[in-house]
Amino acid sequence: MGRKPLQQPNLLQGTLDLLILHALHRGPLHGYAIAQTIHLLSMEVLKVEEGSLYPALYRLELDGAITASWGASENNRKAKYYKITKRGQKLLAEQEATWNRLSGAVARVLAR
Amino acid sequence: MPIIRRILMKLSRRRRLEQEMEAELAFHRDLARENANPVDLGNTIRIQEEVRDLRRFTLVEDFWRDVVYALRSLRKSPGFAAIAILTLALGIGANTAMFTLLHRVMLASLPVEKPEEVIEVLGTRGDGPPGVAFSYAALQGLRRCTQACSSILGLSNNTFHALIDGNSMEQLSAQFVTGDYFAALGVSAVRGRTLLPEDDETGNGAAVAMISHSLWQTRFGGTPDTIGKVMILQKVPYTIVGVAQPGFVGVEVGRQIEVWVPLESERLMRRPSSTESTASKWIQIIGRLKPEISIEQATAELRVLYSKSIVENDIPELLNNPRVDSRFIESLKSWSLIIEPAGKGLNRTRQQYDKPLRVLMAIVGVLLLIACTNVAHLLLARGWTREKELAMRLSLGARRSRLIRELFTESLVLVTAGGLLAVFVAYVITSYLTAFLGNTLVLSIAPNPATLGFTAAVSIAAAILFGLLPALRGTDMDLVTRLKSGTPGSAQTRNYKWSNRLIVVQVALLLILVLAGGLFVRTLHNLNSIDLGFDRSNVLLALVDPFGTTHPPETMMALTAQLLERVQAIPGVKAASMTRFAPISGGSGVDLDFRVNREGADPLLARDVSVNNIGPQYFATLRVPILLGREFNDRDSAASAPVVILNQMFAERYFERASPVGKIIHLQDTPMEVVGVVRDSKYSQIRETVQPTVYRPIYQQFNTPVQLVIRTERSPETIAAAVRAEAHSVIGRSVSVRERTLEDNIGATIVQERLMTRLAALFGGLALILAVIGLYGVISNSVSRRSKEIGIRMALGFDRRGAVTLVLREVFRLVGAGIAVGLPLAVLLTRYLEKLLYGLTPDDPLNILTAVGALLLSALAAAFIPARRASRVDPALALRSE
Repeated sequence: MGRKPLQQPNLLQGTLDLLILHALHRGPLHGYAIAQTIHLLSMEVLKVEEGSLYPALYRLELDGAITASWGASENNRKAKYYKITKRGQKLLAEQEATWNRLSGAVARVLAR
Repeated sequence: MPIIRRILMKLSRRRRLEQEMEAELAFHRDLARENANPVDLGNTIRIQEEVRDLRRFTLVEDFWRDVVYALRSLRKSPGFAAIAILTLALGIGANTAMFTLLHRVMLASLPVEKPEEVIEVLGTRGDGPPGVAFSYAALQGLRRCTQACSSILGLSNNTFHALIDGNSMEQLSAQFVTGDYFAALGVSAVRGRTLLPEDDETGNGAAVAMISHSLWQTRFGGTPDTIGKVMILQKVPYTIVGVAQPGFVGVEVGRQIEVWVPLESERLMRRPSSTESTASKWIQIIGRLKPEISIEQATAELRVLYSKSIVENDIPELLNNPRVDSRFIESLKSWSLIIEPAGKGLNRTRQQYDKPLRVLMAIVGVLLLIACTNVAHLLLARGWTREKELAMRLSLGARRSRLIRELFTESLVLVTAGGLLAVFVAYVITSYLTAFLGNTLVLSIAPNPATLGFTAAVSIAAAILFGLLPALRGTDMDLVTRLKSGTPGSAQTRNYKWSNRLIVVQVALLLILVLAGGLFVRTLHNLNSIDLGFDRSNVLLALVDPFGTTHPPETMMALTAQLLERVQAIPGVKAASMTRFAPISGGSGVDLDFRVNREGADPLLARDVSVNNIGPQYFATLRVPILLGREFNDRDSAASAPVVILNQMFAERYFERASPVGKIIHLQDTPMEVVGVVRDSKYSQIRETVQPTVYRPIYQQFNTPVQLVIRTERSPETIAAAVRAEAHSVIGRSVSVRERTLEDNIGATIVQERLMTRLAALFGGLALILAVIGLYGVISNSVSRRSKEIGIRMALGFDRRGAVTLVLREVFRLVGAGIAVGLPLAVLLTRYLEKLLYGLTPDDPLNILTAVGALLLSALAAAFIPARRASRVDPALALRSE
């Protein structure tokens, strides 16, 4: 049974992981806040849907890049907060480097 | 079992995780709605599916799913599952049982502190085998070992009659030990205290006793007021001061000590005490080495001390004795000692059982291999029936590794069930074994971590052995051919080839077991058919022990004579007599030197003559022919002149052609007249060569206990109760009577050989049955596979005999190949058994012929039903079926 591909590839697979890790880089957030952060930071260009977000979160959790714990949200509701781990930090640094190299390369190609 | 716990935790957590996931998504949507953030409402279920998939990719859960799947598919074929599990349970169980024994005897450390430091000191005499015991003086000398040893301990085994609260108990297995025994071994008391050096002051031993935990539980009900109780041991009142820690039963495997008393208290029990003479070698010595001291260093120090003790004690004592030969004194210089590690127990039992246990372990190992090949057959056959299903799944994209894992999980499930059942099988076998061994080897055989670990390891090894091949074969196929039709594909044919190879291996293995089994059965048969010189059937022995009665010896003698008369009158008794030593008791007996005067020549000294004291009509009762003179009668009493009867060997060796009847021989200075010569019979061992033997009338030399020897008309057990009743009425209730048939008494001396034979025959028989089942399965599969071919042949004029020949040819081709492979191997391996055999060699041609014959016959039996089926193939049906 192979892993199902994410169905709405608005974001390149893998890029989403990078963005999530980046969003969590500054502190723990719940799922909705992660989506919002990415949305806002991208100047409302990128929209993360829950159909992509949650599988990605669970996968990262299983990989040990992030941990989850239940806490109270701003308006005092129970919410699941995700926090980046040491391993996640490392992953973030690696993926960021890869992305920068890749996007730079793509930009250079397109600039010609 | 952490893996199972993890599975259970995962499963219980799954529900909670899903609820949490729902809550999380709901929270997300609520926030989105509140912030008027248009969200593309994904399908919750789809997300959950995706997430669940993520989780499933953990190995544990996968494994669990495979297990559930395997259980489900096994439930669908309960016959297959039952046979496979039973086969495995037998194979693994037999291994566990033998390992339990092996572990107890050979591998387990004693329950003492730092067992690796514990050593055994064994006396040697020149080139003779080590193991000679030590005198009291030698013990005292060796106890001066202070450089290499942190302690040197003496112990001496005994059986004591015991009276507790006025009740006679059976004989207790007891040990005299030095006072520092428990402290040095690091064994503590659960109640009261251990024996202490103060209890064991030289010449002033205290009458205190320590008892084992199991004696405390069984005879004293585990009550705390046991401490301080007085127990009469051999007429000496001992006070119980402590109970040893549970599990400690001494330092010799197979002997469970129940009572320990101070070595010095021996002086209270025996007159004269064995401590007084260096001639009494009655003490075994163990010790504890200091840390970092090697066995060689300790040996050096102890040897010096031992030689010194011999020079200071043994030699002066012998020089004082005018009768001692100076050559004997000279030979003392060759006395020495060796040291063996004893952390696993004293060496005697271990050496004795070492080889038999190894051989039995090998036998059950082969049995397990045969069981595994059988299960492999079953799995291969099952693979064929599932071929289509597997082919379908492979073609739909299932990875082969995934299917192999799934098939192998099935094997693991089978082996787990088999392994659990095997613990029970092992328990049954070990219970039988310990019952069979009786008091020749007393062991606790409760399952312990080591044996359970062994079972688990063997089970997993078995699963790999029988499960891997079918899993690999079952998934290796050419999909196109497989899916196209129901006809056997190339993969299937290859599987049959594998199955055939397995049969060849199985037959080869089986041949080894059958050969070995045959060797042991013939050995026992040879032992049992040795001419002992007397008629052993229908004889009851009754050991009459006056311990606990207060009769003086003279009264006891009169009462015993009276008892004998009464016993002779019991209906069903043909003849009865008595003896000091029952024939073939396995070692007990007395050797004495006699002087034979000759006319016109120096007297001959007859050394180490076996001596027995017997009652009137003894030879008539045992049916030993009188060759010359007469047998003893009631007139040969303490009041009449001493008389003796010689065996043929004595007569021929010391009187040559002359008739000894009427001649005089001397025991020390007592002249004794020879009144008869009897045919030779064996004295204490089945395998001994007959030694010169002198019989004396029991009324001229009366010792207790006495063995009554009773020849009965029918089965001897039937009159046991009557004999006991007569003994109680004549001598008194406090007399102890132990009945046993002569056959049992003799059997007890070859218990090891009987055990080997029973087990080898049992396991060999099991292996044969398993192999026949395996062969049957393979042949009958092959017949159904070839039914079309047979049908065609029949349609073309083949007759029934032809069909049968076809099947038989296949059977004998396989079995023949197995024998060809197995025979050289078996002959090579059975050579190792040489020393355990009697009266034949491992390559005995008759045995090989019988084994091969037995194998061929069993093959015929296995082929019978399939061959008959082949002969009844209806060509029309076979051709039409598809």
